[in-house]
Amino acid sequence: MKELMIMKKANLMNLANAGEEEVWSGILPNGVGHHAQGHTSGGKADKTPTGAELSTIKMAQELFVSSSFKLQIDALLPNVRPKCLRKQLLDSFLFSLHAYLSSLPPLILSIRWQPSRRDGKSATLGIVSIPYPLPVPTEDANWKVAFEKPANITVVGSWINNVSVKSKDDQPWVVDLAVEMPSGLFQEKDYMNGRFFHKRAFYLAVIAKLVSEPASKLNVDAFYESKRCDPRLTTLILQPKHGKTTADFSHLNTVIRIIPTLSTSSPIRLARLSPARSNFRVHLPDAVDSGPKHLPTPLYNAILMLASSPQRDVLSVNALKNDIPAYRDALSLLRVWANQRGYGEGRRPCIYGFEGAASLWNAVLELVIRGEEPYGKMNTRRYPLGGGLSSYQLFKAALDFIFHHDFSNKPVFVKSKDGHLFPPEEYLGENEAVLVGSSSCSNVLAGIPLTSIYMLQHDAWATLEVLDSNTSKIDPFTEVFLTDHRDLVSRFDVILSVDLSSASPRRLSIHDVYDNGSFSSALIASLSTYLRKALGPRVKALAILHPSSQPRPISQGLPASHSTVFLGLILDPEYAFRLVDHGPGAAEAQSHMTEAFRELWGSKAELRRFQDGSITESVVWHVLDSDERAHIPAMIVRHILEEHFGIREDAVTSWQFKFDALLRLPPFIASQCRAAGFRAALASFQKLASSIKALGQELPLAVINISPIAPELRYTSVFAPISVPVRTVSTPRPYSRYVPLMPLNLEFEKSARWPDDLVAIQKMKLAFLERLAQVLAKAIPGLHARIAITLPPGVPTTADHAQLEITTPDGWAFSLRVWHDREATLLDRVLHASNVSCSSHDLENAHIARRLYTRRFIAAPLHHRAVAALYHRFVAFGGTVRLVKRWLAAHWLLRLHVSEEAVEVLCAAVFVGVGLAQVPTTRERGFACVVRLLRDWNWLEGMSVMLYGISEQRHDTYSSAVSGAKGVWMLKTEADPDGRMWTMDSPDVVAALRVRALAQATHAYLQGIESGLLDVSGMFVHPEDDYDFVVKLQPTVHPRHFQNITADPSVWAKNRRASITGSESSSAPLRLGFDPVEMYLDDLTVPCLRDTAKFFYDPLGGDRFGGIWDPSITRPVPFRVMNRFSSIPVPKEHEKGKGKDRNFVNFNESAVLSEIVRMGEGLVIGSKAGGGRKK
Amino acid sequence: MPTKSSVGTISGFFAFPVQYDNDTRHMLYIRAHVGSSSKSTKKVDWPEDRTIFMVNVPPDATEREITLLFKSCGTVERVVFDADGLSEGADTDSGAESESDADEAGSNETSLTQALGRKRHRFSTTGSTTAPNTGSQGQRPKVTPLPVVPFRSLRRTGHTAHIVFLDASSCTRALALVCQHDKPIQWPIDEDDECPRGLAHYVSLYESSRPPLDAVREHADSAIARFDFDLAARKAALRRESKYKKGEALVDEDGFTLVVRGGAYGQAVGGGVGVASRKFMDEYTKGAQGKKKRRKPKEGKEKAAFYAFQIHEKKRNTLLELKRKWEQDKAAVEKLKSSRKFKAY
Repeated sequence: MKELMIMKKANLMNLANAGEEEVWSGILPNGVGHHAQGHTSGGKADKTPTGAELSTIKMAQELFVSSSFKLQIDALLPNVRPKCLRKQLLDSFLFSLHAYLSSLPPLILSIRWQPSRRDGKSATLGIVSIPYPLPVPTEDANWKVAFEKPANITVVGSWINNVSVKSKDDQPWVVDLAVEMPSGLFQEKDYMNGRFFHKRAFYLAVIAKLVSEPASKLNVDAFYESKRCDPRLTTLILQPKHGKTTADFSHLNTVIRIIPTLSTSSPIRLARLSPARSNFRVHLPDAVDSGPKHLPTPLYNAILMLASSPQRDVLSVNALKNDIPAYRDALSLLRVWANQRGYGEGRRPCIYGFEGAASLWNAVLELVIRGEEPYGKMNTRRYPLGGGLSSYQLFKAALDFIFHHDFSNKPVFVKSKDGHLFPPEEYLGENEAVLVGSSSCSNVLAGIPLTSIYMLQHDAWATLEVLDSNTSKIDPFTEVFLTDHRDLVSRFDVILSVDLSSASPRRLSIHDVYDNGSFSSALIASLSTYLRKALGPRVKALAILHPSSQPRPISQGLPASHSTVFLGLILDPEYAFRLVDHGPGAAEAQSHMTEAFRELWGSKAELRRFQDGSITESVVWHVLDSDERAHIPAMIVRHILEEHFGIREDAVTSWQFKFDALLRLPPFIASQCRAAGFRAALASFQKLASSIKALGQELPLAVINISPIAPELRYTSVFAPISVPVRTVSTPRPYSRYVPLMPLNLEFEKSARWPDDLVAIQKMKLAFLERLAQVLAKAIPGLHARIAITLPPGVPTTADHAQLEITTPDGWAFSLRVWHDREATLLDRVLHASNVSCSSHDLENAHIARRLYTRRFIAAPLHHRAVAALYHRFVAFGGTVRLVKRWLAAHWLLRLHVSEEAVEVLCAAVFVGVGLAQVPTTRERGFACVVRLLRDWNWLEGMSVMLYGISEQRHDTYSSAVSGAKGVWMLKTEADPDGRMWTMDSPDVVAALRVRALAQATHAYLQGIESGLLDVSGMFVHPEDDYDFVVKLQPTVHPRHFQNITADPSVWAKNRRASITGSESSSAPLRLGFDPVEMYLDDLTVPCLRDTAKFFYDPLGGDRFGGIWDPSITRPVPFRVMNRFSSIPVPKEHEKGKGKDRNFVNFNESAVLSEIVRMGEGLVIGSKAGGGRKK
Repeated sequence: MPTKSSVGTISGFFAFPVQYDNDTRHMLYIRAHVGSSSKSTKKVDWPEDRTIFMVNVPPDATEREITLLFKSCGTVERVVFDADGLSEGADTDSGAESESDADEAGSNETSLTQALGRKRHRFSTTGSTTAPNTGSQGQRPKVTPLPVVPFRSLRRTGHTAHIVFLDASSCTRALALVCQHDKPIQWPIDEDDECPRGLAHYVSLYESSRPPLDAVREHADSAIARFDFDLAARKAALRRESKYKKGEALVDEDGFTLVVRGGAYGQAVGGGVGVASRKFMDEYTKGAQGKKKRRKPKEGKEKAAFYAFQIHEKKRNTLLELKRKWEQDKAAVEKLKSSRKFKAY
């Protein structure tokens, strides 16, 4: 029976995979035993994965996001670690350094030894300055500074444990060398008043002096480096000289850092360094406001504690490394992540406080792995995670901890074997987060202001969102580990550059300065506290950024303090722009709260009675318009800076105003209009729509729907819409006469009585519109209506071409078109006719008409609704679109190459595609994000934008796919899966490349903010060098000149009698939506010079336009009748060499240029051929 | 820019420069028209002896300007720009438009006869604009055209034109004139200023595309009346041609209109209800049959996890698939690696 089964099976198998027959036939003779093993049988072994392989695959899939994620991590890690081959050279140098340091003679000096201190300079030792921290030792000190050869020299830090991670900006690798100062140099009381640090500074100075002497034969340059600009953290950096010795390791990009440490057997007792203790008891006569005598000095104590901990840290990291195989990878990932976001060191601005805080990442991972030490009833215990986690899981767990932990209230202690030195209560300081590692007794977060911690949390949140999102739009790996997120403009909603040099803080005690180590650190710490209190829920995160400190020559004792810092604000759209900050109520007897509120806000605080009857302390911010409202957070920062730190307005630079100016019309124009603004336009539209619907019986068919499709009615036109100028005040001038028409679609109820013919439908529409015009004019006094028959070149008469132009009594202009859905059916019938009787010309026309129909009546209203919804969902969306449109227009790309709708979809991509954490809240940031997106976007892959939101499940889709589309962008939305609706013919490759180059240049330009020299308007100046020709237009006749980015007020100031021709007097009727430049460029682009040149112009009042010749025509070609360009015969002598009977012609450039000028008679001033491109 | 203004021949064309008010020269190429022997039937036959074929006509040239250019040689009967024949949309708002519109009225019908009819109409349009509508009774309503302001139509640069002279001698004179000239010929300026350029052109274009409401009404009403008349006429013609009541709706005794595709009966002409296209019908019937077919065979399915070997096979395949994917990912990452993407910074 069994045999039979096998036989049958084998047969089936043979049938199933006939190709592998010979392999499987092997089963039969082998008999019964085999089938149990299934796939492990002989012939297949090379194909099926082995157990080891399988486990790798399974691990990768289950322990990481996906197998490709794991592979990418594996590919990344070797790149951020030191290469093995560096180590030998380095080791030999370290040996010689060790030998040298161990041979140094002792040196004891009295502190009085210094002669030069009186004249205010820092103490020196020969040419080497001694980096004495504050307070500088007084001359009458009765103790001495001394040097003796180190008791012990060890390599510590991440290098010895092989967990170093490359730092940003090609900063060198650092080998930490702990040089243990002999215990004999110290006394028990040296922890007091910075005496330890003075001795340490002297010790370091001596090493610096000796090492840099040529006699040492070490051949290195020595530098001081002070992390966080704190002189107490000064270390010595040894950088190899490019030299001749064999021990030259300069090409390794590695430096050696000498850290003086305290031996465990030193007389200073660690128990004295509890964070709650006060170790500064300087009684200065002028310290009036020191308050209670002995305030704790947590930061001072923590730094002192650090001097004793390096060896212990090494051991604990080593233990972790041995226990948890994935620890090393996870640490690397975490540090790469942090480095990419500026939590570390680099030349670009980094988040304040994280400099030199490498042990932080260690402690976080340690906490995740080891769990939390329970204490008291203060918080719930965090349990240790197992050791079997993958590096990715550990990384994610660490981020999760960072994001979810409430740092401001709950201190965290990593579980350690023998408990912690100090009880948790002692750590509870104000304004400080606490995370204590297992080995070091100090708080690794000491010195990091809470604002920076919140920023870290915010970034952790953003990253978790990316990792958890399922959208395939962004590659999570690239986003998390490979992209540099330090870019200020696209990271922060508001950026302010603050010059601290003029700061004179109102309340900064000498004690704070001593605890923080330097004036500027104390200033920044206090700044962070005040800003955090003042901004409150308005910001999601607030970061103080500065470029990290660089090594300084050893002749310079104290680190240069930060003169300029950047404040980056990430706003919470819900609260950021509220006008009132409420304080405690007046009735309540909480006088200390009221006092605190008044202290915070100073003169701005006032007692107010509100509508609900409550009387509270409050601060009210006065703004004029919505533009100004977006400045409230910046106003608060300015106020606090001035109030508490004496930093005047001019020391604070922000860039928002400059951006606002780009979207504002000149005041002269605004004053001419009867009304302006999006809201007014929308209200007028609503009024018109309801009055049309109310016409009822007077129209043959009832009006069902009027849908707007104008950017002015969805808050995305560059300028706020304006109404018709007031005629009584001043006659409109040609250059200010442009009034945009806002297109609307009108839908009548369905009727069978429409003619079933495309042309007749258009005539019927005319009749309808005429009727509507009559009836409307009768119903609403003061309303003007006019029918316009607009058929752009190349559009057949079967397409919709009639519109009704309405001017409402309050001066708004609309254009109305009739939507009749039968047109689509009729056109489709032509297109899909099975017989071939239609001529290609008819088909072509039907295609054009159908495309126009879909765009205007189907896609545009859908798009309009979606965009309007986005405007309401995201505060910054409208402004972003307007800025981007302005930017593209200023660079001559909008309209002819990039349609307005395409811009809107593009801008939506930076709002809807990303996690909530990364949505821009100001238009400036939105603009920067779009620019970055355009810079990086590979348009071949297309882009899908969830424009309509997930909630709207069902929506109509339309097809926009067309063969032979010239446009290269694909902007897919839910309604448009092909992504060609708005990018059918443009931008083509040339324009798309231009957009990308432009985005690259603009992005690079925006980085200028880091040097504080960003000139916003410079981004909107278009270079004209790379055009083949540039034509200058006459600004006085351009109706849209007032929209020009550099609109010249003199055009409308003088030259009042400007008129073009005799007929064109200033009393000529106002022409709604009349833009001759647009018509002229359309004529040039489509019918006239389509095959000759590409044109670029600024639709917003540009006074020049440029073009490039089609490269295929710029060399001689044989003469043909249908050459499609204006030609001139090649002169004979040039032709000789060819010796052919074909006659060659050249492109007649000057003739075409003069044609262009001729066709723009009255509009054009002149042209010039640019030598931009090489022929 | 060659300074020499030589008149040369190039591929049988006389090339000669013309000059506008500045120094730049525009080259025109002309030759006597030669009737094409090829089968391009739709091309109009130009009178061979008195027609000049011109190449590289300036995009903004008007008939009048060309007439003036050759004024010294004789009277130009007409100038036909070949670009206009290719795109009919060029003359948009002229009265001729409604004529051709009316002729295309039947274009929506998909049946072969209709299409043929339309073709015939098209043909007659190109010849002359008066379509003989012999079949209809009564006076065919005239379409009131919208008011037209003459303006310059702009054409593609380097297009061609046929210039027909009144007599053959002027044609030869024109060619001779071109040959003799060794200086560029001045392009004539239209003093009447009927067709302005540039800004004035756009102003007049803007104004003329916004006719007064009365004119629009008249135009629309008359066009629709014309359409209705044509529709009725076609129905009547159809009815006459057939013994069946072609063109009449087929109404059953209950008063319902029967809608039938094609055939002699009840074809709804012009208005009424559209019927699903044949393609759709075909697909529909095919689909219905297919459904029937699909429903029948059920035996094709085999139990997938019945025998142990099938289970093993399945397992093995998943493992192989797993490995294949793994290798694929690996290859992808290797590729990225080689493009140095993993240089984090």
